[in-house]
Amino acid sequence: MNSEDQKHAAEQWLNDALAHYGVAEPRAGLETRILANLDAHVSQRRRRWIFALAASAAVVVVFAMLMANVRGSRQDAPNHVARQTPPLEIKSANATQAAAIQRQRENLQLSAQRHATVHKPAAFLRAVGMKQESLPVVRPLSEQVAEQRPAPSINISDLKTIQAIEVRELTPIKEID
Amino acid sequence: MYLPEQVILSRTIPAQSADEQVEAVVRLHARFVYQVAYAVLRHPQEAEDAAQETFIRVWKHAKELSGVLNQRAWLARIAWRVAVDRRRKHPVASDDEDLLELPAGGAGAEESVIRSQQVALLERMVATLPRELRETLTLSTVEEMTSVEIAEVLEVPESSVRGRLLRARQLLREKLQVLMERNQKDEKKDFKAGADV
Repeated sequence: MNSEDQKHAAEQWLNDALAHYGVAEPRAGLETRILANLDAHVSQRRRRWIFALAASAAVVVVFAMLMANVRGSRQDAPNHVARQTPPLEIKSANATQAAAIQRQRENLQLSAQRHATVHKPAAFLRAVGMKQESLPVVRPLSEQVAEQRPAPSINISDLKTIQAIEVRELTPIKEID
Repeated sequence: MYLPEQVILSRTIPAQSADEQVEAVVRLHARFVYQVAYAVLRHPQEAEDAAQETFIRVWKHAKELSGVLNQRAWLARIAWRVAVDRRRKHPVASDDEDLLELPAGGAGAEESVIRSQQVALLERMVATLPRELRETLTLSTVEEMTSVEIAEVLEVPESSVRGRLLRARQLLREKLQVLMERNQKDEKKDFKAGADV
């Protein structure tokens, strides 16, 4: 076989082999299998999404509740305590206390009325029949004391007569039977 | 006037949902996608898995589907990438070229065996080609795949595809001639040895 024949034979062999090389028939029902696989993939993906959404929603709700609790405990603590229903004993004590406060208020109002009457000097003097000039003038107390008790006069010679005091140790007291 | 397949489809088929579009594409092109994957992987089960993965990717990009002008080329590109990724993850061990042996010709019942041997030999020879030539030749063996589509898949000009195909065939022919010469020498040796005995 010369080279030209060999070349020709090789060309023929190659064409034949390449023609069969690309022939590949899939098993029957390839489309059905692919579609079934796609359906499974889609449903799995949807399930994952649903699970992820549910999980994230749960996380958000828990977080929101935690935040609400923290904020409530920080800001509304006094109101919360005030809003609490007091026990029965405290309720009755409050009632008596309220009554006492009411009485005290009434007394205060009465005394204020009296005070108002007493501390209206012009009206009072008119009622009594006196004039304001006849009343003694109010002066500072120091001046009045100074008038009544004159300041003691101390002479230096008197100071010289003061004798020194002897300081002795205290003797223990004998117990009396 | 030439109209791309997608344009024709969009004019004739009423508007569908994304899932319906994907289903239509599966029914229309599943075999083609399988063949592209098989050309790379050379294994039926692997090729089917690659086809499944390809359509999952198609479903993920279903919104783009209506804007694709040449669906076959688009699908072939996805299938090609999927298959190449799979082959990279599970590489097929290529045999040494010295172990190659040209199958003897035959007829009748032995023909299918001979053909499978022929294809196996070609697979080994293709595996020894440079990557760019191998990829181009592999895609060209896929049924009904034009050089324009191959150019789109490989993202090279069509003229490059033609040049690569010529170069690949030339290299394969040279390898074959070497094998044929070796076979002839072996036959002569055997003949001489038989005559001596």
